[in-house]
Amino acid sequence: MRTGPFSNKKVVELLNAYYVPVYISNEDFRGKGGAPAEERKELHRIFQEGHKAKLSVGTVHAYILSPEGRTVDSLHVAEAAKVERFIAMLEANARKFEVPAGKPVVKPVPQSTVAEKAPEGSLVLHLVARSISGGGWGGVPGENWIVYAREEVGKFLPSGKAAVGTTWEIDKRAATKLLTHFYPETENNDVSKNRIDEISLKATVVSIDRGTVTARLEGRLKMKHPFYHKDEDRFVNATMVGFIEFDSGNRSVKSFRLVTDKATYGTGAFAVAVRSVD
Amino acid sequence: MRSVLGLPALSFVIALAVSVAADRPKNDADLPAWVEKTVIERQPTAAERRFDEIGWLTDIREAIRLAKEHKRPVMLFTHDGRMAIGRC
Repeated sequence: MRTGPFSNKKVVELLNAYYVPVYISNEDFRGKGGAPAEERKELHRIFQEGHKAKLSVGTVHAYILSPEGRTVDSLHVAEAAKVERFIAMLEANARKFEVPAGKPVVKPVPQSTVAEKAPEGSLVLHLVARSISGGGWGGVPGENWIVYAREEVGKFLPSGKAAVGTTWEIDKRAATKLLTHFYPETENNDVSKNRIDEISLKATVVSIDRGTVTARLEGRLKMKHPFYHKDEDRFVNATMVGFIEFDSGNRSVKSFRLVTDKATYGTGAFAVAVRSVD
Repeated sequence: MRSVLGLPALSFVIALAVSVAADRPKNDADLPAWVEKTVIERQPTAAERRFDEIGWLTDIREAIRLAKEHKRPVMLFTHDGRMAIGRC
């Protein structure tokens, strides 16, 4: 939907001018997901009303609710993904409820952001993973925001004083927290299903300038990552290079960059870029 | 989040594939600039961020409250994964 209707100019205009658009992730509504009980109750009610009205009802759907919040229309994602079909539903319901065109009810803002405000002293990394040739779905790249608390940041740094040529292996747990997201866009995004067979991220100091230490990063990863939510032997094989800059005095990280120079997933190829965000 | 690519999109992907697959420089001195350039090239493009041009909510009850206030219908999309970060 994101690469289809939700990237279509006409759909964007219709949603902003006539609707209150909302999306939810089913993960938040299952088991220990984060959706509050009242929110779950609302979703259940919407489904029940859809059933009563003999509409298409399911977990991956587009629903239209009346201005009073009643379920009045729906499309299964396979239909909603057809741009003309989705536009027809939006136009029909805007007419039905005689909605005058207006400004968006909520100001559009970037949707991919770090989940919570990171505490002071944290290291926030933004990761982009995109398919090159058959590595993943294609379309839009996958993104992740990885936050290292102040006490974790030190795990990227050498234990003692750094001089040009000093080399160290970055703590495996800290490296895993980042590299476990090194895979292209796949249906399975449960990183607990990954199995890391080989991981290494090594740093070597290349320069020291007025207390700022710059170290080159070189890494490799071999990781089993099922494409779907069923077990399969599909592997990420990647090598990467980058730089970390840190203050030798207060041991804060000033900048972090890491990119794959070679990365395959199954028989396809993909690319990853990681950067620190202020 | 499957995509059906049209020709313009396909051309874009091919062009992108060339840039993201660019070889690492052989000379270490050229590495910092290459890493920086590669990080920039791999960021989501404006076309990939068109989804952000929609005034989204992520709370059903708040959407219904605003629908009542503004006398507008709600379009609710329910999905698996995390659409906002392309992990779905």
